[in-house]
Amino acid sequence: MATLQVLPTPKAPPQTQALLQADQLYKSFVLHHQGGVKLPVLEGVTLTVNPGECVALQGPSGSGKSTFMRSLYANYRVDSGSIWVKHQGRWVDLPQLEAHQLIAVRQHTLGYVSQFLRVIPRVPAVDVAAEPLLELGVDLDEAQTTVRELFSRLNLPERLWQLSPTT
Amino acid sequence: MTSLSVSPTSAPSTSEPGFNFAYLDEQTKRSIRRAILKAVAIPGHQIPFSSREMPMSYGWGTGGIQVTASVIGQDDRLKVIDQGADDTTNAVNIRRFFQKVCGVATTEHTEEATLIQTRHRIPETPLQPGQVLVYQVPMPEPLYFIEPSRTEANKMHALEEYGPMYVKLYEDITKFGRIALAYDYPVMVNGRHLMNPSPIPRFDNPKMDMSPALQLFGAGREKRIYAIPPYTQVKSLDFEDHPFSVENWEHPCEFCGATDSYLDEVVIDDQGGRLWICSDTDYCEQRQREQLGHTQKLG
Amino acid sequence: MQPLLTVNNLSKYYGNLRACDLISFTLYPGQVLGIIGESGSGKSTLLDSIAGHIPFEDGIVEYCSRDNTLLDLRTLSEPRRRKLMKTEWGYVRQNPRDGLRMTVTAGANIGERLLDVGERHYGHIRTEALQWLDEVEIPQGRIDDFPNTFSGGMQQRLQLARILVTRPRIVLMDEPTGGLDVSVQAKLLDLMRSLVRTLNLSVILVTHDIGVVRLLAHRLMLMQIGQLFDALLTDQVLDDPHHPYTQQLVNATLIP
Repeated sequence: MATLQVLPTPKAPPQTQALLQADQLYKSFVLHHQGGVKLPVLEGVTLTVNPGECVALQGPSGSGKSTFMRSLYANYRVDSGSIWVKHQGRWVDLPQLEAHQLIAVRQHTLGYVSQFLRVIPRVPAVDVAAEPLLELGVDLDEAQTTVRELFSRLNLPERLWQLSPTT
Repeated sequence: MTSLSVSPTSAPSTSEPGFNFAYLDEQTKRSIRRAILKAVAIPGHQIPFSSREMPMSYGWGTGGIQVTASVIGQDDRLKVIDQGADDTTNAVNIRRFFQKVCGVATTEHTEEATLIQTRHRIPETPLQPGQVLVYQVPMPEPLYFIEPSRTEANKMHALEEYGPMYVKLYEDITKFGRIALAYDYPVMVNGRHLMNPSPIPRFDNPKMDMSPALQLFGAGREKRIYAIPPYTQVKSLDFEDHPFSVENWEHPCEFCGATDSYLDEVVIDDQGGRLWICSDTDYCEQRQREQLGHTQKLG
Repeated sequence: MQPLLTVNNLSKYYGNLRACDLISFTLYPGQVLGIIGESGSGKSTLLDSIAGHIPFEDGIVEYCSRDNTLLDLRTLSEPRRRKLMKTEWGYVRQNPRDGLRMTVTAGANIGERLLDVGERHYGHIRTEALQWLDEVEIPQGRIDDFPNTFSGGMQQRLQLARILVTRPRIVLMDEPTGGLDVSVQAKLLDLMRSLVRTLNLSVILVTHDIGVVRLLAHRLMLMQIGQLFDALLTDQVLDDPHHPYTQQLVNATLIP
């Protein structure tokens, strides 16, 4: 007699106007080379972000802010839970996505600004900032013009534009 | 340019006793003919054959001689030339060899021959249907200097992957401004196989294209036979913007005045004086005779 | 999006030794897939199997060609496979001397693949060669020089030009920066980054260098003793390593 297979219940996307919906995120780290110690960091975290909102995460160091942020970008992989993102009009659950779909979400919808800016050395700031636009197929001149405009708005001194961000 | 000991045309004679007709045994002739048939069926493609020990060393035309020996018959009329001349040592010796072992008729006149064996030239007189031209070939593989591996070269022929050959021609143009090959100029036969036409001057390449004669190529040391059946397309390799061209000379032939034949340069004195004369001795002589007859008529 | 290449349960055995054990992954257009592993992990064997240089025992490798036909690379006839490797695919060898014709000029090296596919205009070949020398940042004046007069880094860039001239869609690279000193490596990697983007190349890159992978690869696969694991985005694998081997590798790296 065949065993009855229990299929996972398909998760339903949110019905709200939000742009980002994190549901019940659990994440722990297992350090295999330090005795296999398990460090739980996120335990059932939920967050909704609506259009135009600016959400601040506050908490003591070690409370999991950075882990949570990186999980939202899918840089860290969660053990369970959903991360719903409104991508090009449709809801997608980041942990369920395939690699190429995730790359597309990062190209078009999700951006990430880090304290520790891991950049490519030797390349001028203008070109580093222009790269995501070039990846989307934007013309080189147009991309660089857009970047220069943004740099001006962000009050980045012009003399720094041709230098590598590592300086 | 008169022949000293052998008259231009010899009647058939009795062959010397002790030799099989044309020297080779019948089984060998049959196996070589089988190779020739395969070669004719795939124009320009090299067919391996069991090259026999001949009474002359490798490098002296054993391949051509074996091909001639396999196709020659009692009723044939044989012409043998070496660099266009009927009276050089090699041509004379090979012609004598066949007279000895076949007793076959021989001639120096291209249009009278049924079978012509040649080293490194094609006769100037256009060939007729029914004639057979046998070339002596030192190195049959056109890719020899480009691809050192025989296995890989065979694959290239099998898959028609001739890019590297064109790379060599590209390099020539880069180095010399033109394709600098003077002889052994590679050709594409029947639009499919890359072939080495033997060290004939590139001047002769166009004669191979759509020739009414059967052209057979024999390489004794390398043990390969290939063929171009009559009326087959033979195209010399070139680039669209560097098309194939033949040599030309500023002077006509000193003896017969021809401006359309391949000329040999001959140094005549210690001061570096030189003259140019037809490489094809028969062609030159016939032209001279015609002019003499013409002058005699007029005179 | 249609995958460019699908590898399904590819296995390569040498007797009882499983050099590649049930390897599966998909490659999409414009993606760089890095394969990291120590020597003996089977990464080069995997690359050679995919390229058709060595036969493999089990599994399927499917490639979607330029004219949208799905090709089974294992059963593809040799003439077609050879043609494919000269046009839609490229293979960059670790030692550029193995991937170049050392006895012909740089221009001839670049022109060869064009001649292979029937280009017969000397002027056109020359123009393409000059253009590609520019693309790979080799001075155009060196078009008639021989590769043995080039530095190692230049030879590697020449190899890239030679391969890219027929606009391949997939480029396989086996340790392309191995043996080059650090500044030369850097220049080559910067060049590869921009070429991947401008030509929308898909790349399978085998290396043991995590720095290379961080810079170039969108996705990362780790191999150990013929087994594949952790085939995810590069930053996922390196920043949040799950597998014990991955953690070991990341912790051992001198530069994060």
